[in-house]
Amino acid sequence: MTPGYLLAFRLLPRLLHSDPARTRQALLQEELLRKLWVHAGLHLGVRELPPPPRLETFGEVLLITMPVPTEPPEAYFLAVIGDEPQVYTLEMGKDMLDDLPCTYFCGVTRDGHHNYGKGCLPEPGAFLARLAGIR
Amino acid sequence: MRQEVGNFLSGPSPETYQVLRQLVLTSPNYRPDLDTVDQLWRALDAGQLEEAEKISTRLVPTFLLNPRAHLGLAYLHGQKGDERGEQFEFYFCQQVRKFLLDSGDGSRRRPYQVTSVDEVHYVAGALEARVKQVTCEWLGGRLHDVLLTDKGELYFATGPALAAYP
Repeated sequence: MTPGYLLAFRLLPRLLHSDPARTRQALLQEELLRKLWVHAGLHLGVRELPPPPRLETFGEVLLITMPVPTEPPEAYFLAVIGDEPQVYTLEMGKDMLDDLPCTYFCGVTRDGHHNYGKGCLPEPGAFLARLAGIR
Repeated sequence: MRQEVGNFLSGPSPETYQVLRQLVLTSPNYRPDLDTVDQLWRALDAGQLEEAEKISTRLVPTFLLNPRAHLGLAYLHGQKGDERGEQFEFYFCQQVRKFLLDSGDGSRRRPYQVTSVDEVHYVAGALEARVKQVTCEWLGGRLHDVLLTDKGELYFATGPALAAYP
């Protein structure tokens, strides 16, 4: 497991669902993302971490750009939307038919991980457009 | 801190342990983001005693209450033929282990009180709990680690450590 996977699929989703408002506030004001990145590295015993993920806001969307994925199903992006947070990811994947690289558009709820099908180009604009399409 | 360490070792109790814990957490040199204990053990495993000796000077204050740190120091003293130092550190290790494991029961109501991620995994190991997942959760406004293990969920108060990361 990589720090990126641990952060995007384990640490952040449960934290968000346990107290959405506090998590959102801490992400915006207390450098929580950078600290969780260090935390993930310590849990996995990673001695040299890539640069931490970056956080940007687009209206009510918190967009987290992860370090470039190295293996499926690591995420390129993670988006948090709304006060009852919906968490979406764009994940590195492989096409099941031809085994070629592709992306998948997914979500992480309290119940677990959900795959909503093929994703878009791993670019912020394309991911935000895809998010706009589901709302 | 020397006085408080003396008080703890001569009269180990939850109270003297908590005094030390607060000193660690409030020290300006508290650096739980560092993997100094791992560095110590890597040097010991490689038989690099001089390197281990250098690393050992960086353990305090952050890892003062870390059983694995004191076990490593006991081993280092033993390798150098310092029997008294070995016994001292082994006793220190036993005491901090006891109070770390007594600091909680891993439930939401009584999470283990740790000062580093290293202690989180030390406790899981001491309980012989196989870690399947690591997650985080807010409890009463404070950040906690939650380990999903083959023995159920274990909660750890890791907020102070996380807050101290630079």
